[in-house]
Amino acid sequence: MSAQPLILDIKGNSLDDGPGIRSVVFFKGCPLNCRWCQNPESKSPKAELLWDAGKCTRCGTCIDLCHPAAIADSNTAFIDREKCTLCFACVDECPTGALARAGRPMSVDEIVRQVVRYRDFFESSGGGVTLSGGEPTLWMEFIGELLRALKKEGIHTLLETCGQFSLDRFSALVLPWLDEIYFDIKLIDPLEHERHCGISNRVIIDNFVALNTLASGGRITLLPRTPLIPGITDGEERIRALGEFYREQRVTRIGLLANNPIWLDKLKKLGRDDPFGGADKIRGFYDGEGKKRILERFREYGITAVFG
Amino acid sequence: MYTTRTEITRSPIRDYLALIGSMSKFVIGTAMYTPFTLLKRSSRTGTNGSPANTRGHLGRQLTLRGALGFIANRFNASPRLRDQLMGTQGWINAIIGLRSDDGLVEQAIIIRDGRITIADRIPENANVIVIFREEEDVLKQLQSSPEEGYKMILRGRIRVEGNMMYMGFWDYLNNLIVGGSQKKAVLKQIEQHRKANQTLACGCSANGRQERRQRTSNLLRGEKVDPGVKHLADPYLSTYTLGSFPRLERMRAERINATPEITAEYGKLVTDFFVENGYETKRDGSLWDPNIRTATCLKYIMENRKPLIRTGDLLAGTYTPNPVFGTVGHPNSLGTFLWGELNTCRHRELEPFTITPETAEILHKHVFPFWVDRNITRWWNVEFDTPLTARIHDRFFAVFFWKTTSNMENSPGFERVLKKGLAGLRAEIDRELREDANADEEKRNTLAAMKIAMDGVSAYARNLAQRARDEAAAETDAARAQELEAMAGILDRVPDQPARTLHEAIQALWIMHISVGMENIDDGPSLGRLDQILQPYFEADIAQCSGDSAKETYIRNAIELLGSLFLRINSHWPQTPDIGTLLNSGSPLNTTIVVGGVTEDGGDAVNDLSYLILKVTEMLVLNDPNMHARYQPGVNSRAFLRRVCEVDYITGATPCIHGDETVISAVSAGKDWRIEDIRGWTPTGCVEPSLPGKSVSATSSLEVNLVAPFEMALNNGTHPLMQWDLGPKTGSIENGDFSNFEDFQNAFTKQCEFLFEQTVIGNNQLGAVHQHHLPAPLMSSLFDGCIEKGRGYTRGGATYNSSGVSLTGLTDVVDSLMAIKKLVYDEKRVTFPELKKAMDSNFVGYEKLHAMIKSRVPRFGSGNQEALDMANWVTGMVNGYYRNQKNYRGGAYTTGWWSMNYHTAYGRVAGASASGRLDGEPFTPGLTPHPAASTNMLDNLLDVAQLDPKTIDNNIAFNVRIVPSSKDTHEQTVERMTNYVETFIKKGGMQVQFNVVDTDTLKDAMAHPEAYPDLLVRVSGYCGYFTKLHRDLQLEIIRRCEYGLD
Repeated sequence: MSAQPLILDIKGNSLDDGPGIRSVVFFKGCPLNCRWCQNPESKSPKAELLWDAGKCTRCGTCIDLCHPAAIADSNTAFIDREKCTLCFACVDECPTGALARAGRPMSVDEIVRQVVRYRDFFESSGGGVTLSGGEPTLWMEFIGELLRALKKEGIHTLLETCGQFSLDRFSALVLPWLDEIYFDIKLIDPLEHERHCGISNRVIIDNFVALNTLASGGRITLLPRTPLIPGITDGEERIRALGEFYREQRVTRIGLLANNPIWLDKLKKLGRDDPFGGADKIRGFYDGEGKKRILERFREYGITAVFG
Repeated sequence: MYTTRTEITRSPIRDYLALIGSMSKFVIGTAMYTPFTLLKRSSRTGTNGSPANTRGHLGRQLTLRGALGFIANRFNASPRLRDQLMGTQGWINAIIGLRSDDGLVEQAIIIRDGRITIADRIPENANVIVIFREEEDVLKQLQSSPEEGYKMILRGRIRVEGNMMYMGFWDYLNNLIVGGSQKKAVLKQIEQHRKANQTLACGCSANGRQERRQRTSNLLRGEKVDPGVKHLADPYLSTYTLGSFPRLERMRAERINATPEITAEYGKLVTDFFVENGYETKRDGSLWDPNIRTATCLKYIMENRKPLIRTGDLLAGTYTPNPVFGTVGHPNSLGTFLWGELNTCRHRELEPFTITPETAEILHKHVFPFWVDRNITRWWNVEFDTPLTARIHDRFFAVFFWKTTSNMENSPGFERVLKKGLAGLRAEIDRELREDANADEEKRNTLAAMKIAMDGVSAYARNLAQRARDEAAAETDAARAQELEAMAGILDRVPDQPARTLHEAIQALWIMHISVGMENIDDGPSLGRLDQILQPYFEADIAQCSGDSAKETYIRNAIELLGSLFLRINSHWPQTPDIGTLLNSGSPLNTTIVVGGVTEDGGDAVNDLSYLILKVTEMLVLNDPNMHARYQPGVNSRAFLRRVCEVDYITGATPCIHGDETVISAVSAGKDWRIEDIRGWTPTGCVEPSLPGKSVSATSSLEVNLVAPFEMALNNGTHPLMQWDLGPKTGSIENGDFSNFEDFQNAFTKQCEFLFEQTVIGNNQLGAVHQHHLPAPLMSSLFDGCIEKGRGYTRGGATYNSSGVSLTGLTDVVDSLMAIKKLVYDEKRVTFPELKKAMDSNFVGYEKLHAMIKSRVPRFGSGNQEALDMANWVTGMVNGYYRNQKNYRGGAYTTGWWSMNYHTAYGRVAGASASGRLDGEPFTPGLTPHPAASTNMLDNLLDVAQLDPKTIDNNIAFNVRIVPSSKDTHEQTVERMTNYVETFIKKGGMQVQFNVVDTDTLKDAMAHPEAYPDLLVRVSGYCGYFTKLHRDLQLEIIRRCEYGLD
């Protein structure tokens, strides 16, 4: 991975990604390939071209200036991704902002400057900055530097991670500057994990166990989180497997992320197909009953689960 | 207007007089609607002329003549109708002209000595002329719904020259003949809106109907952390709900379900007095001293108005003979605007009134004929010979002068009466007269008038005491009889003697509030820092209580008393004509009350009363009083702010929250006022700072549309919609006169200076009108300095003086300037003439440019430094002009950015903006950033917090609509709100007001108003019940950015 990551977005005012009012820095690129990924534009570490059909007025500005002629009304998805060279000339001229670039290089300084504006809001609310993605740990040096700069500003730091990283490098470069980690554990069974997320969860589980030991020593705050994807991660057996693992690890508090099918729209902007082929189940929102069932199941294992 | 008194009616009709199109909550009546309903009918039935000539303008002229002739004949032939032309003081006479600017239509209605005649030429001495821009507009008006008709008036297709009140008289006569068809048209309009609302709400959740109950089910408990809180173990008073106070619950329900009643008591008394004693001169022909005239009349009113006690109430005295909900209807201000609607106001779609036939007759025959030429707008035009500034006001596109309504955006020192009693004030006056051997005539008269006025107040209190005793004697319920006896005892003492108990203090305050409203206009005024005023009485009372249970009982009583005061304040309504519902729709009379802030020496002012008042605010959820909180980080506790936020969450809209330090620094800037006095500030009107009993702030004197001079700068001095070549020639875009952006900024500045100069001239003229006709001796006695100087407050008697300006359209102007700078000058993506053409075409055919503006131009509120600098440039330029002007009392002008509902009303008269806003669309409320500025609420909060306080010294209204997350508990939601507000204020934020409501709830409420009788929302400065607001305003509130708290 190159030393300079691409930043997808900085969400200035988030109440969902850790305690208090937070700014969230989204990194582009992820070692996993979860089928349900809620931020599909964050999977690839490369810049991508987004097209929002709803915003587009078909004014034709981009068609006229696209040198490789990748954009045409006659294309099924408007942009022919094979032909597109990602020059982004169209983005600069698009009057509506329907064409957009996903992923921009930003320096540590630039990021710090942008979020430090909100420092007073962080302080009064017990908030801070969250690194998310994508997977920020793909750029250990960079995020280490960023986190150190944030700590220097007295800002609370939190990392949202998929857990797939080298523990040694993480411990050396990143951990010293972190206050809190939200650690995703999607599935316990390594084979299922590989099937749905592209790789085995061996490293992830090992990393969690190691960090959990540090957390129980009070060195860091660690919260495991599980996305509830209908039919994939929320089945009875999957939940029991998680419950047993957490009990074993003496984890008493976990986070749950309810399925949010809005990501399916994001796929369209990227010109990608729905990996579930339009299956209805995956399009559902979690209802109160569904949530209650899962909370009760975890309670049987002595675990307080919180939807976040 | 009487054959016997023609001197006042001679009006120079060559000019625009009086108003139309003029706005405010109030303004004109059903206006031109009725005659044309008839006209339509008569042309259909073919009463006039052959089909051939109805096609041409000659035909239309004949049709018009025929319709008018038909009405005239009915009156001339029927003794019953003819009787309506006879008032108590003689025949009611008027000449009303109708014409079009193109000269194709001209008719006059001459009502004289009991006969109506129609003429083809409008006589020189017409009282009023209705002017259609083109002959076609006569036809359009014919085919329009009532609301479309109003919009034609507001957008300048129809205007009025002369005295608008006469149109009301003519409308009244018309309604007697065609009232039925008008009612049908209203019903049709209601049905259309109902259907549209159902479509809008299709698929919306109905959860909002349970929301209030949910929000009150988990009240937070407070802790005793504020040093000034001495007696409340749980300052949040979490164990009480409205259900704990059956008396308040009952009185509130009665009020919420009531329709305001038009009453004639005040009108009749004031008319009786002047018919008997003379207005311009006394009966003996000698001149009145203005102060003595006002005071003598007030004394008569107070002595003769009915002393009423609302059934079961703890406080005696009412604004009107309807103790639950009525209108006073001062005929010298707004009252007379209702003339044309006396018979139709019951059937309006919005804000209907009830009215008895007796009231209608008194107003029509006795009151309105006397005042038709004696009202503020009329005096302004007559005494200053229809100045340009009044003509600008009349067209309602650039400025509205609040002094045509009232001069009440002040905070009189009611506390003086509580502390000294009227007896103490009388003694002060006597001492002053004794000690000042050189007192001039004005001083002697002013001080004598103060005492006469006070005698009137004392008489009213005596009458109320007697009434309480009479009711007690007749009362069968022993407990109530005891209450009434106690009330009589209190009224024996206050307001003449100093108050000793909380009950005495509140009763005295209430009587003074009524009295000041009777003396002037019942529009406000502010009650100021109620927690500071009342705390000593609370402490004195509670010291008498022995034991916890006695204290508990007393605290309950104190809450009930405060609740009674709130409901008393909420018992009157402006006598708004129907067209007013398109303007400041749903606005009450805004009596402001503030809690919190700092003491004279800068210490923490939060006390027991602060929390008691917040509890009452939370339980009653009223649109008036207009509630405010001052918060100074580091001085006031976070627990106090948290409670304010909880009340905001529960009520959804009130109180609004002020950054205390920022307001204090803004008020202090460039003034030599004592800092101790400034620390005592209170909001008045909507949000504007005023120093109770010390400063006369008249904070909403000028209500300016900043987009009007901007449009004039774009059009070389001409206002496009009004087609009025008004301003200086500052350069033509089409001729390429602006070679750089600064040139255009300079043109805008020059147009502003032109308009602002007119506003200052007009305000100072109106000040003179108030000095002569509304000198307010009683209210003046409540301001420091007036007694000593022997000058009323309108004559600059108070210690400090200023006049306030509120401007609408900051965000639109800043975003427009940014669009011009970026796209035309910096990036050269479009030429200025092209952009101008696109705006003139309402962006039709310029969709690409329109999209570019929306996606590429950084707006105010986006966190972009250049946009923020631009905003500070605009507020600085505006303040720089006004700060250096002197008002008629010797004070400076202050500038603020809150809009009531002018953002919708002025938006209606503005063409498409360079900001991308389309023709007629509303601006954003107050100085709230545009919803498209940023999806990040923090950018909004930070940009607003970084405006230079001294350039916004008349305060701001910053609206934030937030929606709590369903995942959060009550406590978490309140905590999150507190976090935002605390930081915003620490960063220098001056003011913020919330609407805590989601879009589904608002839409559901539009479709099912019956399920939301008291859904409170902040408009911009004032609060209104959402289902009672005009549809355009409802939609504007829905369009506001909705920030989720998740």
